[in-house]
Amino acid sequence: MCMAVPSRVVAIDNGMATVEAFGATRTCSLMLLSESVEIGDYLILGVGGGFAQDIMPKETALAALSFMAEVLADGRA
Amino acid sequence: MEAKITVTARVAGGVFQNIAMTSTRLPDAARLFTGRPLAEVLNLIPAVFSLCGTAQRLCGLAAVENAAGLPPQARPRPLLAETLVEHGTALARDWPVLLGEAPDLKSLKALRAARHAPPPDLLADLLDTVPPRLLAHLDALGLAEFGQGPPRPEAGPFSRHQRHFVSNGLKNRFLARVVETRAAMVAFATAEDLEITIPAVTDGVGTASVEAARGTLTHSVRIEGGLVRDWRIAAPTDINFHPDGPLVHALSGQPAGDNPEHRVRLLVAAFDPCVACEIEVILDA
Repeated sequence: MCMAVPSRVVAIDNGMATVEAFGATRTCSLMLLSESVEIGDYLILGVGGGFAQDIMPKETALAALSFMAEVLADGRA
Repeated sequence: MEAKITVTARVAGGVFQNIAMTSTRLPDAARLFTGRPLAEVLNLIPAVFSLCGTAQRLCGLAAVENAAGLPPQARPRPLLAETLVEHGTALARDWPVLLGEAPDLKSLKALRAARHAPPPDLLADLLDTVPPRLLAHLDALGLAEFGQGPPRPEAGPFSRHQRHFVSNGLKNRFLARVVETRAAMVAFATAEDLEITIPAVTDGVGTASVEAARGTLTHSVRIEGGLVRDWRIAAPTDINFHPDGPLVHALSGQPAGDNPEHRVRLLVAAFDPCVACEIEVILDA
């Protein structure tokens, strides 16, 4: 299934964000977003992960991450 | 966690053969909806499957309505908007890269900013400028009929519009997306918004399909006492990128040419997977 992992912004530098999800960090561009992004926001990255394409409300993101953690723990999904 | 598909194609005697398809997608994740209250699951679906969140949400809701014995409802407008944004994204982001150009990030940003009502002018501009060059590129490489072969079950714009086409070659696959985008623009202009509510009585067994951007999406559900007992999702990418699916068969036996990786890349883009796709070409001596 095409799950997209909400990634938490941990740093922003010159239009690029460092984001974290499940202990892994990566860098993505914020240039496709119209809204301004702050540290602590949750982003949905587009295919390939180079660009953030959406900001997800925190409550929604936490619910999705909690479910995905169960999927990962389950292993056979 | 990031899902990815890998296509591994061998080239022997100048043709593609022994195509292997692997995926790190988690197609059975929906099984973990079991035991949760229905309302929670209907909220989780667009959050977890956010790449085509509208289609997933509407399909899940339609399956629940089916389980409750309610007639299917048309909810075309949000679905059409998502299809237009996804097809527009292919035109702005993916097709230029196939031509060796940079993605059109300006159009992509404008499209995403207006994703609930994709601007017709922007889509028309993309349709007028990008497909003609890609189609000419295919002609120049002699690839208009690349991948042509006996029809097999598949999902997506070509499958939905194949009555317009005499062959399932590469060029017609891309043309089908152009045709569909134009038709969806017309349909969106007159489509009505319908309110989305969860039906009061929900227990039962139900199944429903919607036409998502990349093809038919199906949800099958069983609900007891307001709790989800079973939930399965079949997505278009499951069909198109199956190890015995239409892409593998379209590629097998085709001439590899002097840039086999580009040929695979074009065919993959025509089928448009919902996740990143890595391509490996192994040249046999």
